Amino acid sequence: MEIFIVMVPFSIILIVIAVLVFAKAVKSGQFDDLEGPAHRILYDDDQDMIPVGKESKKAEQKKSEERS
Amino acid sequence: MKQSPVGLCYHCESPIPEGVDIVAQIDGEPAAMCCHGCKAVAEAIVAGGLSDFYRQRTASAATPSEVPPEKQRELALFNRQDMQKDFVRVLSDQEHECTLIIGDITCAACVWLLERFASEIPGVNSLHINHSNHRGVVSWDPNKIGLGEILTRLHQIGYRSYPYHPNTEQQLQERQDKQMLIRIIVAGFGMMQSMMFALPLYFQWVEDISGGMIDLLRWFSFVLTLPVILYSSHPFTAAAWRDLKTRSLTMDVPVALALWLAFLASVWITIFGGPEVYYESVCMFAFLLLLSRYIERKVRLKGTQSSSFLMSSMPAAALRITNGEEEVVALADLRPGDLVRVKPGETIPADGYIREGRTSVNEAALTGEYLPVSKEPGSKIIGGTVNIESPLIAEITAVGENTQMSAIMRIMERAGRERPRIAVMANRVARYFISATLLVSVLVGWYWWHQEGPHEAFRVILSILVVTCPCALSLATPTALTAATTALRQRGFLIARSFVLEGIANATTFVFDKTGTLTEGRLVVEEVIPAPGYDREQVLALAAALEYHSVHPIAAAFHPYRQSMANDVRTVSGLGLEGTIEGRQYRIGVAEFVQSELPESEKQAMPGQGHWIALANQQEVIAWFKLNDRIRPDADEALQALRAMGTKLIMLSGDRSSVVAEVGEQLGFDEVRGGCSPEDKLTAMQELQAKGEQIVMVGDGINDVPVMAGAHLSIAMNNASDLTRLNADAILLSDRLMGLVNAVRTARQTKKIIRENLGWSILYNVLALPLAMAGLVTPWQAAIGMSVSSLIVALNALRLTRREDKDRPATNIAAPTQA
Repeated sequence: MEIFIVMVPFSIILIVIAVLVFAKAVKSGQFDDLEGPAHRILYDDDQDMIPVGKESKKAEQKKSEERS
Repeated sequence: MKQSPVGLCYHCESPIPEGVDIVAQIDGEPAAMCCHGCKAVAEAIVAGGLSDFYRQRTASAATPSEVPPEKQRELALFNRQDMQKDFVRVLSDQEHECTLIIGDITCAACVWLLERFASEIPGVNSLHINHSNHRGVVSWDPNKIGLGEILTRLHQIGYRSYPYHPNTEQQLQERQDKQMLIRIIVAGFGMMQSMMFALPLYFQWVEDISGGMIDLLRWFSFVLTLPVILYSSHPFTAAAWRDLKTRSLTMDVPVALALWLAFLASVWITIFGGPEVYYESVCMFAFLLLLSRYIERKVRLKGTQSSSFLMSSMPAAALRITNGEEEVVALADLRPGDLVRVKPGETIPADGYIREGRTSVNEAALTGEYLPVSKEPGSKIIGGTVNIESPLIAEITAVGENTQMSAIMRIMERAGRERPRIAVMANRVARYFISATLLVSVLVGWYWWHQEGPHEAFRVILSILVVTCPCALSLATPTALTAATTALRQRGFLIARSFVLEGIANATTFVFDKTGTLTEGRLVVEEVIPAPGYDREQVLALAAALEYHSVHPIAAAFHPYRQSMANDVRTVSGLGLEGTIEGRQYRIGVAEFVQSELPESEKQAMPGQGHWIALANQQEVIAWFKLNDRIRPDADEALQALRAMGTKLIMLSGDRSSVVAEVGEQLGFDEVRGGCSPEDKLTAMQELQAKGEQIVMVGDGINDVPVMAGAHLSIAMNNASDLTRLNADAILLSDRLMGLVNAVRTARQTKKIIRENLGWSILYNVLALPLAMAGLVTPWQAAIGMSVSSLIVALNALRLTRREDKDRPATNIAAPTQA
């Protein structure tokens, strides 16, 4: 049980560090936009890098027809 | 052909006017467009390799308009060093940075489009846009491009952008946002770790746990809780203190009391020994409450921001003439007696009268009417209205506070102060409940103190406070309101004030403005009568070629039909236009003007009632056009639905013509009043209020603002002026009036759910309170009971978001790929 005497203060030190890091992140504006990143990942900037087979091309076309 | 749902423009998804056939090539396929503006934007998007925009967007793009030269000149002002010093950050000689506020962002794909588009402008290093608040940071090389040009380019693809300069209030708000987030995380970490320290104590997991070890864990829990109670809980403490000083009782009082009592009791026990400490309860409670407040605050602030900032960031300048020389001066430096030049398309800077020039002025900002009023030397002009036809020189008679616009603001403020309060039921119930709880805890605590001593008393009081704690009861309303607010926002109804849902559910009367609210607020060509030998398309194209050169609202009706250009176009103020197309001279405008040079035998009378204009060449009249402000397509359906819900419908319009009565009859209004000034409208409404009616005012113009401020509840249309939107309690984000019906339905359902929630939480409290009073509930059991009851309340509220939206038409589903 003596290990508690080391671990408990250590956990508090860890928390203090975590809070400080988080506070720094907040102040530098990393949490200003909580929605953007969720969308940003969906932007396909790699369209031309995806190999397009005939099948998927058809599906694509079908999709665009449905849209119209 | 690529097309959005039938008959809609591929780019902006607004309806394509009849007879318009404009096609843009998108990815090698033709796509239907509603106007040349959209075509230009679509082509610019495709040319930039950005056609993914159409695949990724989830809402329609803004309908672009060509950037008029005046606007370009205004934007060019931002190139000047002295204009820039407030908002441009100079990083180096090659890199300047500026925060922009960007309007008309409708979905995430807009952000993508803008960022990509901007990065391809030569000289622009990058543009990063924040999705939440529609602000972007642009960085550019001043040697290659000016800020004004960047702004113009963004305007050209349909996004109004201006430099953003936060005022102190906004800065404060941003700082508070960040601070709140830190408070939450401190409470969150505190909660996690103190729970960790508490569990072995609760369940005796560690068999041989010694007294010394317990003390150790308690002391460390104390260290953890100290920042939570002092820093994280500070907002509650401060608010409770303020409430006590002002002798009003809100949720903050028992919250702060519970937090501090639990904390102090725990400290007492830590020092002098005792059975249990409650540090983890303190942390958890603080964390959950902070989190719910943070979410509520975010919802409240969202959406109302961008439009208000757009307005405040317009450059306020006027062109003053001193000793025959023109100079640009700030609006604040203008004095009565000054001479100013106002070019066509510009806003008149202050009240005055015309010294030179004959023109027409669009006074829609004041009266809500879209047809301009003719002005000649000596006529009074009003600041804030827009000069349409030709340049004028005016002498200023009143500035700032003394202008008519300021007078309207004052009426608005007065009306806002006199506005009847919507009593918020939940708060009232909660207040009685809080007083009762506090009283009961004191009495019960006193009893236990005498029976069993301070330890037991503390424990029981704490249980009572936690078990009954406002949570379920206080969550009952906010969760339902938040769920409904989010759901409605997704369906195009933005709520800006907290009492909107309750107000709209209880409304007995809906008051509508006519122009721009029930109607679309712009003229469209309703009927075309071509002369024999001409066809419809031909005459429309001729008219559009002439009207292209005018900024008059009539001209806008023809813009979609334009195919060619006219030369030597001359505007005859208040009468019409004259110009040559392919070598032949044409006139368009009011009948007398158009026919004035025709031989007597060719003159014709107007073909019927309504607003007709004629088109003629030098020999004969070749067409008549009937223009009308179309009633919104879903107005009838929406009003019927509202009536079916048992509300009274009233129309108050500034329009003096017979159209008011016509529209009123057509849509089946219970009461119609035309020719109302803003004051008249306000009086009419106050009469109704005196009879006990709960009024919701729906409007769009600045002239509606005073009435809206005085109504129980005000709703602004999507196309409303910025000021109207800013002051409204709710905004209809789509152009569809059905959104209103939807809102009423959801609001009524919300009311039902709030009742259920309140009923349940009161039942829970009634059951739990006696147990807690009897000392049968330990604080951690109370905390679980509290959480479960809160969870039930929250889940019940979530039913509001799940409701299948039957009213949503296919046209609104603009999402090819649901992101």
